[in-house]
Amino acid sequence: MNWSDVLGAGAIVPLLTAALRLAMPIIVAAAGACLAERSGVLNLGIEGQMMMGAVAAFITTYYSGSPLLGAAVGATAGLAVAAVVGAATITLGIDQIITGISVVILGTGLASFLYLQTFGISGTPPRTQGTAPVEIPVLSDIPLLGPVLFSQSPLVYLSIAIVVALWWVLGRTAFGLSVRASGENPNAADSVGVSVPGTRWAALLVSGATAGLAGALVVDGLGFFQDGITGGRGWVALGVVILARWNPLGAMAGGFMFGLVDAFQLRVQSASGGQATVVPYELFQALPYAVTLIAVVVTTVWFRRTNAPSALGSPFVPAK
Amino acid sequence: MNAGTLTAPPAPPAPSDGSGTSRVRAAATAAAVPLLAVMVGLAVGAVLIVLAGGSPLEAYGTMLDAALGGDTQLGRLLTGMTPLVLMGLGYAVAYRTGFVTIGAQGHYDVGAITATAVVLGLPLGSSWVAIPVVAVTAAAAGALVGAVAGVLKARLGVNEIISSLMLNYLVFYGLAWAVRKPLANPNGFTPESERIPEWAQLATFPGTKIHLGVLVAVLAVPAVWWLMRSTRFGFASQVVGESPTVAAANGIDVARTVITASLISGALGGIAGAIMLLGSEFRLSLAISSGIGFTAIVVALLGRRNPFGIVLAAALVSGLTLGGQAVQRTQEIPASIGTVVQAVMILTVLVANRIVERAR
Repeated sequence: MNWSDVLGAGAIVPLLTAALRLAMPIIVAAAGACLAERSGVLNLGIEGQMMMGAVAAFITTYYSGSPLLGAAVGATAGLAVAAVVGAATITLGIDQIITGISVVILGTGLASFLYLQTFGISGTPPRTQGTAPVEIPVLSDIPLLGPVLFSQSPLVYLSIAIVVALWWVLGRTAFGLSVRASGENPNAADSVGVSVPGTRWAALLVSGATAGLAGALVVDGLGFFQDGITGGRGWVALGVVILARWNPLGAMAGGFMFGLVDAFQLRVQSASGGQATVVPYELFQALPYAVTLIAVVVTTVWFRRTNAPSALGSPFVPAK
Repeated sequence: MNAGTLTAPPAPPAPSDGSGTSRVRAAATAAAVPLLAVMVGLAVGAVLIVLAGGSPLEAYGTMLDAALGGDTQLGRLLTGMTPLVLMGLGYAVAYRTGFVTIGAQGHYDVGAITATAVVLGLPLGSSWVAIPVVAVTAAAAGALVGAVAGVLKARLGVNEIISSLMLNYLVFYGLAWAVRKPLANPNGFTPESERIPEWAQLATFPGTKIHLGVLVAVLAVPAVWWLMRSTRFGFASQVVGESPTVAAANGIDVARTVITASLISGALGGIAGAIMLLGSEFRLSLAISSGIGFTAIVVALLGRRNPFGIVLAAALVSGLTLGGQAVQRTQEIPASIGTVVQAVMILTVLVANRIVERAR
């Protein structure tokens, strides 16, 4: 294997470009999850919402030929699954962890059903054409940053815009203040007239929509759908929320790290051309998950005082 | 809430005034809720079957037949239940301490890898030697993986949901490497191990295909019940699960309790994987890792984390899985209907319990 194909000077731009593309589903899902968690709702069902987003986006793109329409339908599907989480945890006050795990199972099963229902059990797997990169004039000519940031698919631009918007909403708007208050001290928020359930519902639905969009991004990058296609990225996104210290912009950095390792391992695999390498390629495949685990451990240990919203995970019961 | 974790402690048991009527009512609820869940689940399943162009009656008939239709089917149901019961018990033991692991899949995979490596690698030559050696090594391997998440949570406050899930992926790629390289079958076309020798396969009850691994689950159920009910650890884990602060104030070693629970759940998962390999699969392949860990969580939740409830839930879930496969084979209806039905059942149980709680 030729290591300069992976790490040489000419390989850096493609590596970083691929890293951003691979990171985007995790970044956008994590940014949405930041919002939900800051409002006090642990949306553990993200992996299920991503699967539903992925299948809905794939089917829509396949029949309409429009990946953008696919992404919109995918986001809506994720939102619909999040509504199940909301009804159970916010409206009824059921345990958020158990609900989340159940919803992952529900989303995974339903996604598999919808796919087989649409395309049948046997036959050649259908494929879609992913979105083509769009170069932004002038900006894409900037060395290094230009090709990495400004010659991406429109869905990537959209996702970056959403992440920045979430950061702005959370930190700079009245709604963001309600979100933070609902997650830190719901009783105080309630006493000054904030509707804690309403705020949590809104934040959770946004999280579901970003998770659905994340699923759409995954199938847009790959051009096909199969069971387990999100490969645990929903869970990784929840880890990234911890790394990001519950800040949507931090999710960019945390998610990009996963994307970089993922891009690196894919490149190692293709550079080795399927030939046996000294280091087993499974080790590289496992790397993104290992890095996520280590990063979550390091963040947890490093910041002794957790930044987690105080009321995260506990249902809000208004005082009568 | 514990700093650094996202884990809320499990809800304390519903208060009981000990009077006869409330106990009767509690018992009625305990029976009615799962029944309602089964009905709602099957109703949603029926809708999906109709959408898939099938007939619910015919499909459910096929499913029932696949699960209970005869001795062969019953044998498959029992052997299919075995790993679900073991891992469901593991989940329940861990959950009681507030340790919400989703690492069962990783424990199971590592148990299966260990069992394969031991019987293919060591010249044991007889099941009398092999079974104890496999049981100990597979349990130890599962416990080791389980304890990683346990130690990280108990000592460093690392969220166990994330850590156990990442560990599942690490073990999975370990499995992928094992079947491609050290344990690979040189004559196989897909990555898989050689078939394990006859002597290492679990014996079956005469005249059936039910292997002895079923007995392990049969013994584990009362053992775990006893562990939860009548031991110091069982008591400690309940207190820790309800409030780590109260537990610590009363001289209970919280970290030790959580780590012990993670070891037990890991060991049960490891044994489950070994049993499936030596009793049903006979060959290590990637197909071993097919989401059975999540199914075990379904079982634990449907069984309300009670050892005997887990047995009933495992029968139901295992039947749905077998039935789903049969329906896919015969009527071209996606087997994933079974998964959806399971999820709907748990959600129904959660909602129904909550409504009953509120009505009190």
